[in-house]
Amino acid sequence: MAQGASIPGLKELAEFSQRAATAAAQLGTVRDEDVDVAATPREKIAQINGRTLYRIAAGTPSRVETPILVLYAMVGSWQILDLQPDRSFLRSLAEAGSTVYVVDWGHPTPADQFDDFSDLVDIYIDGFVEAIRDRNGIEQVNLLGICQGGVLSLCYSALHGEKIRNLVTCVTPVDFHGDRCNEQVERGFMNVWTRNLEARDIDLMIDTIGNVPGGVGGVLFSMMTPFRSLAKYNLTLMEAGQDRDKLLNFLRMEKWLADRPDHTGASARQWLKDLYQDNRLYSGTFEIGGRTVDLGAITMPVLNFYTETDHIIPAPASKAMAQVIGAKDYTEAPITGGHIGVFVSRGQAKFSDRILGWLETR
Amino acid sequence: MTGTRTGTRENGPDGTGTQASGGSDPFGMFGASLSASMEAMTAWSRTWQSLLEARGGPSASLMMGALADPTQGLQSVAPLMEEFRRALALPRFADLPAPNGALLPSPEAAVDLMMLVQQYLAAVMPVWVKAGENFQAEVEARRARGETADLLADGMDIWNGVLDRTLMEFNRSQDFAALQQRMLRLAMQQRQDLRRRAEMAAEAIDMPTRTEMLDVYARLHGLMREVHSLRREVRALKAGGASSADHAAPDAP
Repeated sequence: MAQGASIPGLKELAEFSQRAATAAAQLGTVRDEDVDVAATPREKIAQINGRTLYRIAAGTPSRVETPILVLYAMVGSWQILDLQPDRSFLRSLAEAGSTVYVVDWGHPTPADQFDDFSDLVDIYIDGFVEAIRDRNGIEQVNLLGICQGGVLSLCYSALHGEKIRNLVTCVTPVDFHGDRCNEQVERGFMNVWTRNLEARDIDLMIDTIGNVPGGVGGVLFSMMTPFRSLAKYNLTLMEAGQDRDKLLNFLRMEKWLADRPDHTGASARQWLKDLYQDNRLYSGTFEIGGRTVDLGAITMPVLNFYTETDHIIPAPASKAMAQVIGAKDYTEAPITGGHIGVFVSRGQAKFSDRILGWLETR
Repeated sequence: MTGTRTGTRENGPDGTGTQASGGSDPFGMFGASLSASMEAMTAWSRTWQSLLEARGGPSASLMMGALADPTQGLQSVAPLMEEFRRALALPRFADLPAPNGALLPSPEAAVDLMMLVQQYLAAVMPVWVKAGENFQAEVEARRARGETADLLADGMDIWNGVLDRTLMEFNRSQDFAALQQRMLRLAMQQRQDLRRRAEMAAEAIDMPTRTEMLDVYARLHGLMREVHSLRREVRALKAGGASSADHAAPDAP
C-alpha cells in the first residue's frame, strides 16, 4: 500500500467493531437481578383481589397536605413511574412535598376477565379512595391519572366527585376521534387500527380469548414505530453499552416493556368499542354500571397535561377535555416529550414542582 | 309313437312356454344374467349420479371455480371445506354410532392463515421497494442540501427513519387493515376450534373445561359485586348512624 493511502470506511469499521465489542463485554456482566425497577420503598396499604394500593415511603406532605392518589393505565405496569432512582416520578412527587399513593393493577388472571369499568371505578378505585380516607381521617383526596388512568380518573370524578378535591390528568384521551382533525402518519395509530375493525371483531376477540394478552398491546405499540422498535437492538443498544449506567437505564426500560400485564376482557371491550370506536366519553354517552359518565359533572379544579409530540394520544384528543369538562377552574398545560417521556426524563423535579405548585393553592 | 323333447315345457300366464331350469339354452341363461347385471348396474349408476348431483355438485363447482380463478381460490378454503363436510354428512340413525367429525381438526383456519401469510408478503413487497426508493431520494436530497451521509452510522440512521415511515404509512392503509381484520378472525376461529377439541378431550377424562371455568368465574364475579355493594351500604348506614348520634344529644349534660 502506498504511503498515505487508506481504504475508505476502514477506520469507521474498526471503530464500529470496537464499540460493539465494548457493548458486548458490558452486556456480558449484567444479570437480570442487576436491573432493578421500582426500587423506591413503598408500603402496602390495601389489596382488593389482585389489585394493590401502595404508599410511596418518601417525602413529607410539606406543601400539599391532601394525599395524591396516582392512577396509571392497565396497559403496561405502573412501575414506569418509578423506573430508576434518579428518574422516578413518584419519588420526585413525594419528595417535592406530598403524600403519594399509587395503584398497582397487578397481572389479571382469567378469573378477572369480567372486570369492566364499573368494577374498576366502583370497586377498586373507590375501595382504595376509602382506604386513604380512613387512614388519614380525611374526606377528599387529590387524584392524578395518566393515560388510561386519566380516563378512569375522569370516570371516578364524574361519579364520585364528592371524594375528590382536585383532579390532575396527564396525556389523557377524551376525544378518541380527535386524531382526525390533524392526521399525521406518526400519530394516532391506535385510533386508526381500532376504527378499521368492526365491533363484531372486538367481540369475537374478547369472547374467544377473554383477557387481552399484554403481548397484543406490545405488538400494536411496535407497529407505531415498526423498524425503530427493532433497530434499538443494534444502534441504541450499542450506544448504551459503552457505559454500564447507561446500559442499565436501557435495560430497565426493556424490563418494563417486557412486563406487559393482560387487560381484563370486559374493560378492554369497553375501551376498544365504547371509547375508541364509538367515542362515547366525548359524546357523553359512556355508561358505567348503568350510569352515564357526564364529564360536565366534574366540577372540582382540573389540571390537564398534554404533549404535542405524543404518538399514542394525539394532543387534540386530550385538549378536547376543555370542551366537555364542567370545572370552572380548568387549566391546560403543555409538556415536552413523548407519551411517557416526561415521567422518565431528568426533568422530574420541575414537573413535580408544577403539579404541587398548582395543588397547593387549591 | 311320437318323440318327446327332453325336459318339460311349462306354460306361462299367457300360455307361452318358458324353458325350465336345467334346460338346454345357455345363451338364454347368459342373456338373463347379463340382463339382471345390467339392470343392477343401471340402478347403481343412477344412484351414483344422484349422489354426485346432491353431494358432489356444489363441491365440484367450487373446486372448478377455484381452479379457473386462482385469486378467488386464494381468498379462503372455508366454503370449500364446508361443502365437503355437507357432502359427507349423513342423517342420524338411532342404533348406529354417529361418526363425530368434531374430533378432527378443522383445517380451514390453519390453511387460510397460511394463505394470508402469502397475501401479506404480496402486499408488503412493494413497501420494501418503495422504502428503497425513498431512501435513495432522501440521500439525494441531503446531498443537494450539502449534507453528507457517507458514514455507515449515518446511512443506517437514514435507512431506519425511511423504512419506519414507509412501514407506518403501510400500517395505516386499507390493505393492511383488511389483512389485520382477516388475521384476527382466522386466529380466533383456530383458537375456538382448538378449544372445542380440548374441551371434548377434557370431558372424556372428567377434567374441568374452559366453559365450566368461565361459568365459575362469572359467578364469582357476581358475588364480588354483591359483597362490595353490601359493604357500601353498611358504610353508608354507619355514616348515617354516626350522623344521627351526633344530632341526637343536644340536651346531654
